[in-house]
Amino acid sequence: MDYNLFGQILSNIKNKTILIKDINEQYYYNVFIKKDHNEVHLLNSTKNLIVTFIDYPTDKNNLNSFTRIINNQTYYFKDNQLIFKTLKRSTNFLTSIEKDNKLNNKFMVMDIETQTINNVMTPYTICIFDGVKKLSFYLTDYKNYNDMIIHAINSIMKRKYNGYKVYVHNLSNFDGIFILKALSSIKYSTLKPIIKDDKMIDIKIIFGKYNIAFRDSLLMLPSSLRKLAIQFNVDNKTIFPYNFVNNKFNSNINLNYIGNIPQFKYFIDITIDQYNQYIKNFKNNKSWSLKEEIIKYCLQDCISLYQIIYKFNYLIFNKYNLNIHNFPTLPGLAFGIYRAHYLNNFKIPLLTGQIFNDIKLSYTGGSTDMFKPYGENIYRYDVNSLYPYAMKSNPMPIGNITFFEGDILQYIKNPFGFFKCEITTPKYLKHPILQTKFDTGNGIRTVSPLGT
Amino acid sequence: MIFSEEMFNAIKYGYTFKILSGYTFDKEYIFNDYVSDLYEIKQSHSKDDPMYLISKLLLNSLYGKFYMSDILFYHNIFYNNELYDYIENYSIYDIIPLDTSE
Repeated sequence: MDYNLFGQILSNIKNKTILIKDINEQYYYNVFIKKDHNEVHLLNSTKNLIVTFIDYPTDKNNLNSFTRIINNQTYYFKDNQLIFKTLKRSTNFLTSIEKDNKLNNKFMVMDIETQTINNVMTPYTICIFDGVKKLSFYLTDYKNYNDMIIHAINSIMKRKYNGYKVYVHNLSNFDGIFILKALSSIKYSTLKPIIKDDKMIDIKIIFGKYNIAFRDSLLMLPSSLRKLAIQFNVDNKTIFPYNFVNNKFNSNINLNYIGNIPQFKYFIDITIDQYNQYIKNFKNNKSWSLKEEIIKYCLQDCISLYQIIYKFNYLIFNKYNLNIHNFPTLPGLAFGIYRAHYLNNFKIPLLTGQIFNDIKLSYTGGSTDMFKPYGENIYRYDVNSLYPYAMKSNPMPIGNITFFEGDILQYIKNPFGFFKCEITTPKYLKHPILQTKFDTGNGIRTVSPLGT
Repeated sequence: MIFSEEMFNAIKYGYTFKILSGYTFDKEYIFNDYVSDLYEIKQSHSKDDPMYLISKLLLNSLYGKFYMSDILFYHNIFYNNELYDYIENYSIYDIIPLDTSE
């Protein structure tokens, strides 16, 4: 910042304003000497302003050590050598979302039951429940299972269901593929699937001015239907002899079967007491019809799922004024609640491109270790909500992003961010704490190495 | 790449670092209220109340959303004979066959 080095001094007014012509005689510098810094205007040959920069001295005894700020960039010079630089990056920030003022129950549920023939599962029953109306579809009434699914979907492609979400528990499993296949063959409609990491997040079908969208309720409530029904205190699933429609266990599946109650061996995961209880439903030699029973069972699944989602939506709306149907996944809902209620004035940058990829490298999973459990007179520790605790009690990186090059520790006190470093570990540590991702050639592993 | 706080902690255990470049941010406790409110709900409901499960799920589901990739994938459904057009004109990540023999 020693302006004597800029070039030939043309004028110097009271040591406050100095005009300098550069050595190559192409530019002019207009230097304004301020109390603790110099403001410099770089001018072209016709004396129009090109750029303004500000120089702050960093060493009183050495004019060649200084900090130069040009727009969003800062350069640190020591003895006229550039040793550190920073660049402020512009980003967009996370925005808040509006709350809903009306509870929305525009949803229905669908359940598909499959039979297993030579280890291949194919649908043979479909039930739909919209809160009032119960619909059922059975394979023997259609050409094939695809035809059955198309009929089922056609029955809900109606104006009155416009904007409805159709929840299927575990849609991302094989049910979704069957539905996708059927949907793709429905004429005069457009399909907009959102699939991420093999999860079917939202399968929207648009017909004319209307649309319905299939959702996977397992992505919203990650638990089995039976457990959820207990937790939400709604009518629970019933039982069904699944292996009665698996030709590994019943070599002669007859979808029109009407007769004796299937034997205990066809049921999965039930006790003999539960079986005896089940038999009591068929008193006075009442016969057991496969079609009737699977539809009853499948509809009960639908009713349970409907009640769970209804209650879940009601509780969320009550607490947060948001409808779950606007969020296809649980993390999406959590994020929505955060944006509607907790974002405040936090400037959370939306990372993209190179910055995202760079910072991603610093993310490794939680550190775990394996032991053969053995012990006598031992203490056992179980930490509750450790993850939320860490979120709550640690500061997070937000606000404006500054890129830097050089050893930041010498210029900025307690810098907070993500650094590219050469790391040397101690020679020995029983539990190395830093992890890195390492491609073994057989998949990427997270390891805690020692060395450099 | 390493997070600064992890680095400062590792220095205590004898690690040494030569920093080459990086990104700095401001810092703020942005999850304080979200976690406190939900933890309070979790503590004040019995385990068989649906709000217990809801608060627990919401507590554990927020953080991962901040690690979402900025890359969006679009899925298009088309006939087999259109596949070559797509391969020529788009960058394709994955193909899911629907097996309808069309």
